[in-house]
Amino acid sequence: MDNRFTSRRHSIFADSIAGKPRSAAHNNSFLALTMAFCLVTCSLYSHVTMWILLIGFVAVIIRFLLYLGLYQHIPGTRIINILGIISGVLLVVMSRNMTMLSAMINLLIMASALKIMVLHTQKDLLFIFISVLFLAALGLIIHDEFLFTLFYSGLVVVLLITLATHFAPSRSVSQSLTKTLQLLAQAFPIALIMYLLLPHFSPFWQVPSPNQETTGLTDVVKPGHIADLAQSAELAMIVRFTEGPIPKFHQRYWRAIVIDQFDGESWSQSQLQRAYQQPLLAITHPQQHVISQPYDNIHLTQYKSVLMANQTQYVPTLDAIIDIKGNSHTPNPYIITASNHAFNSQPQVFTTDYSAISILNVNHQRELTQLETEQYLQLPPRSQKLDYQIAHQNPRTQDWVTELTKQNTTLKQLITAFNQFILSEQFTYTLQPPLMPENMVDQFLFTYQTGFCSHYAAAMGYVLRLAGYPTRLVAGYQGGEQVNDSTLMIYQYDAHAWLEVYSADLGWQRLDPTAVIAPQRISDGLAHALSNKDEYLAEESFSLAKYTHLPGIAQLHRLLQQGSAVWHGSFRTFDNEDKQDLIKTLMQQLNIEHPAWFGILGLSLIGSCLAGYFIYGRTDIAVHPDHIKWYLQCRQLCVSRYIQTSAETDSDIQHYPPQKFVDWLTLHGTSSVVAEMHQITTWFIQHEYRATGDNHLTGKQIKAGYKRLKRLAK
Amino acid sequence: MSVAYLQQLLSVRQEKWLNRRIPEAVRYQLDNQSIFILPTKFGYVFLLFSVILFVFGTNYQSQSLIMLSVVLIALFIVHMFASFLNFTRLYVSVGHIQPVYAGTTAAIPLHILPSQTARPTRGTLWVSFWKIKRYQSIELDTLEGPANIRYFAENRGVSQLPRMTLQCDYPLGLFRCWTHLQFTQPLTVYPQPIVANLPLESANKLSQVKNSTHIQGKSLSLNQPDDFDSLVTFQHGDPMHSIAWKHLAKTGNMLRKRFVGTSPQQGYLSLPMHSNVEKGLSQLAYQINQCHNKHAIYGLYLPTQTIVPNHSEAHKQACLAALAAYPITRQAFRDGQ
Repeated sequence: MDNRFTSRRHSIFADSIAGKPRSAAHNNSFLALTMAFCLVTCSLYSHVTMWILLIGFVAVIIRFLLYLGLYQHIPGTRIINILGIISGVLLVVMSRNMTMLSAMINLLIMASALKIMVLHTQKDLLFIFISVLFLAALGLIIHDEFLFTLFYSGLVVVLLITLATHFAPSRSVSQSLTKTLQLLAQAFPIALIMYLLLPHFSPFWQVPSPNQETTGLTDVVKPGHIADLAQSAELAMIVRFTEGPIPKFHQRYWRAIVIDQFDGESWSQSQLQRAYQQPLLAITHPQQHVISQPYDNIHLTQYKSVLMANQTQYVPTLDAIIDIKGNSHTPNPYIITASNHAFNSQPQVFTTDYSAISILNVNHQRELTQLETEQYLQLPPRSQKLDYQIAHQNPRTQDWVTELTKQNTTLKQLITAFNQFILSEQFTYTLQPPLMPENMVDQFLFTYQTGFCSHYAAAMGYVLRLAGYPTRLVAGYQGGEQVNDSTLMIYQYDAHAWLEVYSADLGWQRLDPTAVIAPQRISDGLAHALSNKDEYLAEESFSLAKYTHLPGIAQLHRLLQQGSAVWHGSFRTFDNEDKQDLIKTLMQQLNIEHPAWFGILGLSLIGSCLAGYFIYGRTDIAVHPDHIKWYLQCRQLCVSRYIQTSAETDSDIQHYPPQKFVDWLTLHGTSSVVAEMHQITTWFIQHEYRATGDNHLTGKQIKAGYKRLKRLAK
Repeated sequence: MSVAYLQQLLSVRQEKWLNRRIPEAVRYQLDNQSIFILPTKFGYVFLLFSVILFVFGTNYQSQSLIMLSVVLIALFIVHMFASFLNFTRLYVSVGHIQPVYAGTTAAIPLHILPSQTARPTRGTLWVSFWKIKRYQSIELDTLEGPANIRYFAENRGVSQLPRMTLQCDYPLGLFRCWTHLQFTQPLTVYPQPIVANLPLESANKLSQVKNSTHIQGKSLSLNQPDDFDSLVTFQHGDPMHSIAWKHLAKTGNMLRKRFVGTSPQQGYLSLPMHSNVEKGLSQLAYQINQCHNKHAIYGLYLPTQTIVPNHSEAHKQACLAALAAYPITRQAFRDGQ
């Protein structure tokens, strides 16, 4: 008796619904919420301070133990309050070095972690729900990518399931999931119409950037840097070609940064290049190009790019860029520098879109000024260090070049000689080159003879400059994976470095030593070029691109890529103009002239959607055949008429078998009603238990009986 | 015109309005008339939060965030319908309520009747009574048989239950549906037994003193030393001194020592005129239990009702019910205040 009572939860009182303590053990909603918290924290881990991650970790462990019932005590409120105050103060002190978004993320994670530790009421649950939902929203701002959008959508569903399991705790998780998805499916059409009807606002106020760290290419090329970049499977940009076919793989050199200062260890941008990137100076340099190849190879190409946020101002464009503009309505922030690469006058803190026009296979040509010639011939400084060291700055290379130039007097000959040298010495192409701290070029050319594209470019650039040819290093991307007929996806591992050498007749000519040593890198991409396949994405254990040789993974990878391309191509960049266009097209299709009518149509659509749901919810699905339905109606009528005089409860009577029900009615009802009900019951029993006649006919019979009964019972 | 007075006035008007809107009934199929629906506090926060997301999305020009906020707002609207539809499927009735003594808790069997639509009501149903902020929950999905709602019966009497408030936050807690139902099923509350030694009067004796203000005469004392007979289960209202303490300490079962008199006694119990009516009724309740347990043949004489002597469980219940139904006097009302 006692057990039955305690197991039935309705014997417990609560002074308020929100404050009623709930059991932590085997509480699915608490577990789902903890998991959602876990997922959102993992997705934002790079923005979270170590000690806050630790608090989160402890909170999750405590919650899991509580769920399993291995641990029964939630930490005391006092401890949590003290912990909260300490963490809060710490966070305030530390937040001075954080961006607003980072500070917010840290604060929310800390608050929800502490709340998860003490979670036992509905109030706590709802607080954490809102916090985690907010974190997911911040995640959407930071990771503005297709996969992350899918991830956060899933997370929102998990969060809603948390609510569903909390408000109907005795339903199974799958039932809660069904209910949640049903609600979302109902909400979605309404959301779509609302989205279309809502006007497009420009930002209400200037917001700080979500990220600080730059990703992708930088303006300093250390030999190892691009090799590091090549380990990353992160998406760099998506390009959709709007005019002309996609250029061949080996023609896809995406120029981003021109680098012209070499200090013996690394290449970086000179003051000159930086000056060129000033908007005012860009205008004074008209772009000229020289044709060095057969006319058939030359064509114009037009494309739209989505460049992932990278905090830099570099804009990768194909070959010779002649025009570039942003897709937003703000003044065009893009400029084309004197070195013929595109540059964004604002840091790319968000994913940016631009459309550009390039000419393939022409060389950029402009007569060099004295200043430029000096810069492009610049060699590591000789004055700062002690004399004997200067003499030995890459001494072997210097000697070798002196030898080489004696035999090879023209640029063409010198290039051929260099290529022959690296081929005959059997240089190898690797993503994990050894460290070359001193006299990098010497060590690379004569000791290790192995390296990545930046090694080859850096070494060859130095050689050419020693020989007296103006040379510059270009960093960017090469290749890109084709997703469909018009779309390319370029990943960080497509990062590449190559050279451009100047001659008066041919202008800036592209030279890629990597093409000599690893031709597959240029024709098929990194994955094919590496002799040691283990090096490919060695640090990206979770990247699908790494496992494309496994069955199914390749298709999945491709599907995700295509989804991503569509998402970036249409939805993410969907702006006011697109919306207006869509509305206009819809209005034309529907023959609507005035925008107000469109609004009214939208609102009435929402209204009819809701009315539809309502009517659907109200309709009774006919679960009973006719005769049962009408028989039950008859019973209902008798019960409601005579229950007052009866000692039995409603539900008792509802459960009486047919004959017993007539007996009950005999005691309470008038004789005419009893007689009628008796007749109805006889029909019903005959049909239901002796299987005579068909459902419809008996149904009609009983329905007629019901009508007579109704008259009699009045 | 104090605040309390205004509140009282408002409360009376509210009750009048409710009586018109949701008249008393034996069972309720909830409908547009009887359901109230408003967003919960959390629902408002959720809506505000969605708008904040929209502002964020606009500021960061993130279409996915704008879409998320719009979906959440649409979900909020859809939720209102889902909540309401779920609650309209509720079909409830209250069964027969077992009488209880004042100062104890009555178990009110709330029947969730098979829904008249194809789909049942889901979620957690919170039950409370008018102006009493104590909630009990019912899991509608796993409920079998009636749910026992506990109601603390403070005062003696036969009365209707106060309005029963049912509320439900299903499915996501953004909206709350509630209703205030006035069930007609009566609740009988017996007077709280108070130990007393009231006499069993003989019928003739009683008729003689019917109109006098004081009951006199020789009584048949109930407290004659009897012989020990057996141990029986302790019941409410039994004297504490009869509890078999040794047995309780050993086994944990509350048993009472039963004594048998030499012969069954017979007579009437009547309301003592000298004391407070409520107290008298309480004493009578005690004595009725005593008489019942001692197998006396007893009747009840009240100014309003007379019950002829008998002995049975039904008789006991009838006597106690008569006590419960005894009109509440002005004096009691004053004391109650």
